[in-house]
Amino acid sequence: MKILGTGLICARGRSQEAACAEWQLPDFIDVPFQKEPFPVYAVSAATLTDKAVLGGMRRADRFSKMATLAAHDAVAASGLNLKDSERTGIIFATAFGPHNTTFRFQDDIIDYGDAGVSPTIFSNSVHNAAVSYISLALGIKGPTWTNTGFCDPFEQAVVLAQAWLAEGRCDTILLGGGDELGTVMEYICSKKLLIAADGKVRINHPPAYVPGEGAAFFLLNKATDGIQLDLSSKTQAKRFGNMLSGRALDCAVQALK
Amino acid sequence: MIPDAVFITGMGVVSAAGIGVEASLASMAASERNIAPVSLFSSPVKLPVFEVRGVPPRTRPGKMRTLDLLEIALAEALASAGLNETAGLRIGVALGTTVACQLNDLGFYSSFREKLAAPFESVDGFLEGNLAEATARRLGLTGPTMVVVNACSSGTDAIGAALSWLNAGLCDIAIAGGADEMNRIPLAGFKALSVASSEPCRPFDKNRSGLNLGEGAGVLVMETAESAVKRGLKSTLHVCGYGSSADAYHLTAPHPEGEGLIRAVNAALRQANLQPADIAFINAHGTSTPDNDRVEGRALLKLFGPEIKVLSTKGYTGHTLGAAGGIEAVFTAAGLSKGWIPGSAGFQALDEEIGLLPTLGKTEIAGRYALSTSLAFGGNNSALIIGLEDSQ
Repeated sequence: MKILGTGLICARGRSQEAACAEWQLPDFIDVPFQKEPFPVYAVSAATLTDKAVLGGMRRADRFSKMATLAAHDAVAASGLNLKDSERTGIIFATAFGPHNTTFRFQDDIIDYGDAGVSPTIFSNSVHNAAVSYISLALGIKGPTWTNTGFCDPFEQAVVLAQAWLAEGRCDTILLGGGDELGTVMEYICSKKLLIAADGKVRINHPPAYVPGEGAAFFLLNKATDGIQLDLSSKTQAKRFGNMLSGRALDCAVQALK
Repeated sequence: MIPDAVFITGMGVVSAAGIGVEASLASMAASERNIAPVSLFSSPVKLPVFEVRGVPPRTRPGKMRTLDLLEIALAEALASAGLNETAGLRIGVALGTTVACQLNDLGFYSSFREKLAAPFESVDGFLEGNLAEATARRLGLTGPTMVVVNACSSGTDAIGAALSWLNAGLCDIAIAGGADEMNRIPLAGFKALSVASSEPCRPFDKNRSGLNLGEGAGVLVMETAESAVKRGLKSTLHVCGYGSSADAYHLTAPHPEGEGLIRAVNAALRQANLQPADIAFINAHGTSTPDNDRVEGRALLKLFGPEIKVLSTKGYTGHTLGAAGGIEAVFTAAGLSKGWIPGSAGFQALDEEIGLLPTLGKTEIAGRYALSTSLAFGGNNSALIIGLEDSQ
């Protein structure tokens, strides 16, 4: 699949230069569940302040904003106008979805009772809210899709995108992946993964992890010339942290280089 | 058998309407509506729901109920497809859900909030409970695996993904459908959205007042003609069209003219190479909310005219969210195969704003194609067409 445009939101920011920047230590943040600082590659609040893109998303959460910015940038980089496009699809892969919003909704239940919860938080807590915001922001009217998995959701999304293009369901596909960080997820990571206390991701045995967050999108068609989406691209976990939604960021950096 | 068709060689279903295809059909033929207050958990939200009876809340600590429901439907589907042994077969798994993709466990979260520590049974159950990955692991499958989380169209979309895989030659057989459990969190959420009714739901009725949540699972075994013939199977049911389209209109409300739904249905008809007149009946999304039924009913009327036979099976199952598309695909296929569909439970009075009269009782079906529709939070619309090959 030919890459027509790429958008990437990561701990280093939003630009192509940020994506290709040299390795830096992660942030070490205070977490309530342990005394030692916890390393994360987190997207800063300043990265998510583009009013031109996010102006209509006042109620959206960080997860949806990261995804929407990355999707917007992929389309902008292509130079195409996809407004009202019925022949463009959106496929987005995530491991955990907008879990911070899920837990905010549970906060509501605990604090205000089942009958006192916020409908807005509930509707933003579904996994496909991000894709809905992308479709709204960019005016895309083809199939919209979110899939989830803990093994290889982005890779499965790539397979589906290829099938859709091959059978003519779409002419172009906005394909992406993303996940977010949050206190509960950091707690789960601290219990399930060997966290790199020095902030240095180690790929080989024994692996050491630094949780990361971000989103990457590609605008694709089925042409065989130009830059192709390359799933064999080198892992970027050392620079952006470990993303459970798969290899979207790795592929994005490869494409941007 | 049609050489390049994708056949349905197995089906399984579980919902409040019954455990198994035959039991569900018998229950719907008798117009039984198994609706009652929530019994699976304690909740101050007193709304009637459609729970699956006879399945304990959890079969082991940490294991999601959704997975238990899926396994019931899957066992029936695999048995009816003669898939006792999967070794050497190229089988994919595409399943839709909503509840099972989130760590919706208040016990875990409240413990973490209070003590900054929490038992990990629920987390382990969640991480091991991705429906497609868990199914592939359990059955030793190596084909593509995907959990679709497109809210209420997830089950229909999972079947659409399986159709694409099979057409692309990525697998020879696909297990596809959806599963979801009754859970305290969506119950509170739908109550907050003011779309849940305190009465049994009445899809397309003039006095409808909202949906009732339900739970269950519906699974199809889909298979290329070549694979089915190789395994010695003869099936007359096939999945022949799928379409999906976004409204790009609102996060929770459907487009008022149903533009996205109309595009999705037209895309499914195009893929199936059919005209609206070829459709014998429609198993509509029909949630019983004022918005959904008005938009969907008017769109279907515009596309198919007033004579089309329409029902919503949610009057028997409740709204089973990510499972709905899977369950309704099974009922749609069964309706074609048996030659009848049940009455649209709960309907009493025509809503003239919609102008669509659903089936009032058990209705005979003579055609060869049927449509199942799904509309989702986020503005996604999906349509699936199932066909019945002439057995002569």
